Amino acid sequence: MKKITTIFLVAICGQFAIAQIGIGTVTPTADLHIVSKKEYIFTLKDNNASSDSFVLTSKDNTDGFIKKESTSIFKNLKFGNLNTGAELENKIIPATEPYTQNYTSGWKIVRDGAYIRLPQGRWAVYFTTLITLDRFINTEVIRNTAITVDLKMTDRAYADSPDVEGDTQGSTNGNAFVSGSIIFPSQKDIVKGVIIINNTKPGEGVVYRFMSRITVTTDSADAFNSLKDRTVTSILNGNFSQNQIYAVPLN
Amino acid sequence: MKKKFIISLLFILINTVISYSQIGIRNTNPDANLAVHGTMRLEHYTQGEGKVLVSNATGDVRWAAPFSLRYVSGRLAPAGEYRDIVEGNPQYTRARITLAPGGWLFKSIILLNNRHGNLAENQTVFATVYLSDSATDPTYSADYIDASARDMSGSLIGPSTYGLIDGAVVIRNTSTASKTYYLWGKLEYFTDNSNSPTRRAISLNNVATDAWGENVIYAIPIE
Repeated sequence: MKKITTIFLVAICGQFAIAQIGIGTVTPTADLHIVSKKEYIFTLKDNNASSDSFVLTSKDNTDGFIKKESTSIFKNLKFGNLNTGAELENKIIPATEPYTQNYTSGWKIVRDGAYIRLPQGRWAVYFTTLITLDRFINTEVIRNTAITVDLKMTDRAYADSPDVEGDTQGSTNGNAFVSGSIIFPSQKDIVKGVIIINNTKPGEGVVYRFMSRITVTTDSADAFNSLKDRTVTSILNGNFSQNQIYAVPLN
Repeated sequence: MKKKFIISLLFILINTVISYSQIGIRNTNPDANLAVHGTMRLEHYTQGEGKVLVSNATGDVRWAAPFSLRYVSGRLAPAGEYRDIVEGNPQYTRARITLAPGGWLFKSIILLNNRHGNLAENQTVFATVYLSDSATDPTYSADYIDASARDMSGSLIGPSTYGLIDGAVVIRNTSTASKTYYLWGKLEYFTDNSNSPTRRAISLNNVATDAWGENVIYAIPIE
């Protein structure tokens, strides 16, 4: 009874803004003094998106407002799904393409299985993938030949997503895509890199997918033609042990 | 009975006051639901020097250690203890890392160099390192999480002198004790069908040893 009365009086005092407040203590030693034996000290609800392990920080140095902020960079890692499709949908070089020293394909879809779902927030998406030819080529004509693979992130419908930071011409704040090359006589190599995603949409999260394009650079028409019936397999394919997609939350 | 009634009444009043008003402490014009102009003291069993207030998803607040990255360094193989990586069976590099229970983002940066001189222009090597639970059994560690890659790979392409592996995998030590993971290496070799120029014998030199300044293996804890 005595305790309850104290709390009540303290609360009333708070209403009139004239005194120190003690919650769980009758002898406050600060303007607001809470002594809690519960699991948590107090509850702070606001209308902003929140997730586990947000830190209370001061908004700025003028008014003392408190805000919740994620500083737990290596918490809440998100992992992407890899696809199980066999290959890119299309051949490296269309059969009708005339020889050129530097051929670049259009962007092609990496099959639907490869995606990452990211909640609202800013994310550094790290991805690593093996790039390998579907069949080995073992001939002299392939010398002085390289296949470069670019990978970019898109929205669910494979359209360019405004959430990709830097995905504009001349952008200085990010990279639109990441690249790696197979340099012959090697038949495989790695593409890896990081793309920054800024998802401003609340809700269950946005699905991001991947597209790829291929550039063939070669001095040899024979090498060029020999690549026409081949594909680059293994791009973000779960059957290859180098491949993974994960995202780290950023502030 | 009267006492109980008073207690009930007080509860209702308290709830009303706290739930429906802004409270100002030393502040007659509170511009937030709780506006303290002065000091705040929060005594709780989670308190401690340097701790910060952390909220969970429902806004419940307690003290916690501020987040900072821990960095656990692995042990590279000392020069003299290494083994070359050659084509064929995987080889234990003699590099290893010991990790406490929990999830870890493991990273490796490993220089690739051929013991027998620069590769010819028609030679390339695709080298891979990975983690095993054993120094004698080349099987992949059982602790890779499903979404993780297993292999960390890179290329050495003739006539370049050096190549690099720069990779990351995710493992979770689900045991209750620290556990040592062993870094194994293997390679694939590519060439064309020409005998010119003369090919070099291939044997990767000092993989994951302290002989190269570029080499490092480390891990960062994750949730």
